[in-house]
Amino acid sequence: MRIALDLNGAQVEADVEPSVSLADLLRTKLGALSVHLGCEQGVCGACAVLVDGRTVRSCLMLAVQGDGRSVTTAEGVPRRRRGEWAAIESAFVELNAFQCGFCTSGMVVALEELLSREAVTRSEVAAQLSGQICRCTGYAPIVEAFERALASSGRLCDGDET
Amino acid sequence: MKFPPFAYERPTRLDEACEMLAVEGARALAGGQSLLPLMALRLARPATLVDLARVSELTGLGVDDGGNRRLDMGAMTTHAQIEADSSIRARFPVLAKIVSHIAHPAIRHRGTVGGSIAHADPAAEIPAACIALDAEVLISSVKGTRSEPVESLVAGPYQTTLRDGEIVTRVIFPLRAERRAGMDEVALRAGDFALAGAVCVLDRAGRDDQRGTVTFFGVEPRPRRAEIDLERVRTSADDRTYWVELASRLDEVIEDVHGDPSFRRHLAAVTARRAFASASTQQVGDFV
Ligand SMILES: Cc1cc2nc3c(=O)[nH]c(=O)nc-3n(C[C@H](O)[C@H](O)[C@H](O)COP(=O)(O)OP(=O)(O)OC[C@H]3O[C@@H](n4cnc5c(N)ncnc54)[C@H](O)[C@@H]3O)c2cc1C
Ligand code: FES
Ligand code: FES
Repeated sequence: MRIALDLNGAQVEADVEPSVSLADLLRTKLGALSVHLGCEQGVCGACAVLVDGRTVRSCLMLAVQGDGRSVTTAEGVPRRRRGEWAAIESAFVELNAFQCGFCTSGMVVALEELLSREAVTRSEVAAQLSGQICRCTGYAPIVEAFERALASSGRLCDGDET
Repeated sequence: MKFPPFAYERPTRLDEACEMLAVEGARALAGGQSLLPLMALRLARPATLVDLARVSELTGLGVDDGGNRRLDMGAMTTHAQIEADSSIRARFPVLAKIVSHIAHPAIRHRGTVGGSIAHADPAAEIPAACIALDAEVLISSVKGTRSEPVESLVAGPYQTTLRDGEIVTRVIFPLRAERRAGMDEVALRAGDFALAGAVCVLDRAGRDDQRGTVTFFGVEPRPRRAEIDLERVRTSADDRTYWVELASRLDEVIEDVHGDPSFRRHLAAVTARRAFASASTQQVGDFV
């Protein structure tokens, strides 16, 4: 089936079999190698991408379901963040928020979803990270990096989500 | 783990979808958050997937305060939409709360209420909430339409009374004056399936609650609704014994690596007590 989608701001087209996942389309035909496959059953979050601005598991979405949608992978996040990206990157580096880096692109996509909101609470950061597994670093530095990135752009707020 | 090959259909109207699903080997695809993992693991191998995403009759969500007094949502309503909807948060806060326990945000963006009911996982939150709140589903197929309460639709673990080719189109929750509800669950980690959970519903008439029920999920092969002896809860010095006794009547308790039946029964009693406490502290009004 012929599909068209917006990938990181560029219009792309592809021919895909229905059984191909969005993750495999992105990796094998569209060059988005930031999309990592850990479990391929929705558990680990390494394959997170934004579809129309919302995080999804790209291993649990068919490429054909992405037809006509707008997809953002970790490659597209620096451009979306423009001037803010340097601060986000240094938060990850300075706080040791990654070691092997396998989970990092999924983390960056999960963070991007939070950065697109006006205000984010600490418990929302925790809820967002509950879906992202890291086998190396431990979560404390990642939570810190998320909070620093959100705080440096004035988005981290106190208060409880209900 | 890649998906086995299948044909893909993408109808835009309900009648088209019904025709496509009437064909042998065809299966509905909603959010794909249960079906696609099953296919990756080769536990399901449909010949054709009929993607319901563009069928307009399966979307939309609204509270009707007028003659019908109900909450009506399309089967393709996502967990995330339920969580964020202001009318649900105001009128059915227990629903907004219970869906926040389903998996993680990224899965809630795609998983749907219709898919959850049709999948009928014993530990799933939505079928239990539907049973607790007397919800019914509307169903369509090439043979026509019918409706059925979720209580009888969910027949067992991953089993429903849906026949081949039938589509859940809408889920209807009655809006009862003076109804209050609360829920609680225990899971190993945030987002995991519940080891045990409970939804408590209290119906008031006059000054007192006249009827109370607790619906357990994750405890037995299907959600079970039990009547609460309100008089005993009110008059006992320590209501814990009552909840333990209620949970001891659950006779098909699941046993798995996470716990033996006595542990799950214990969790059932704990979650029922907390769900009751949460329902009891709600204001009486048009809230559930
Ligand atoms: C990592 C992970 C964790 C999860 N944790 C939880 C959890 O804690 N609690 C929980 O409840 N769920 C959990 N889920 C499952 C999730 O909630 C699913 O979204 C849901 O169970 C199924 O909804 P779906 O829309 O994705 O359905 P699909 O996967 O598309 O379909 C599921 C089944 O329902 C059928 N179907 C779908 N829609 C209809 C319809 N309208 N009419 C008739 N049949 C239909 C399909 O043919 C299929 O058999 C989890 C999933 C993952 C991957
Ligand atoms: S690879 Fe998609 S969630 Fe693990
Ligand atoms: S840094 Fe290695 S998995 Fe997270």
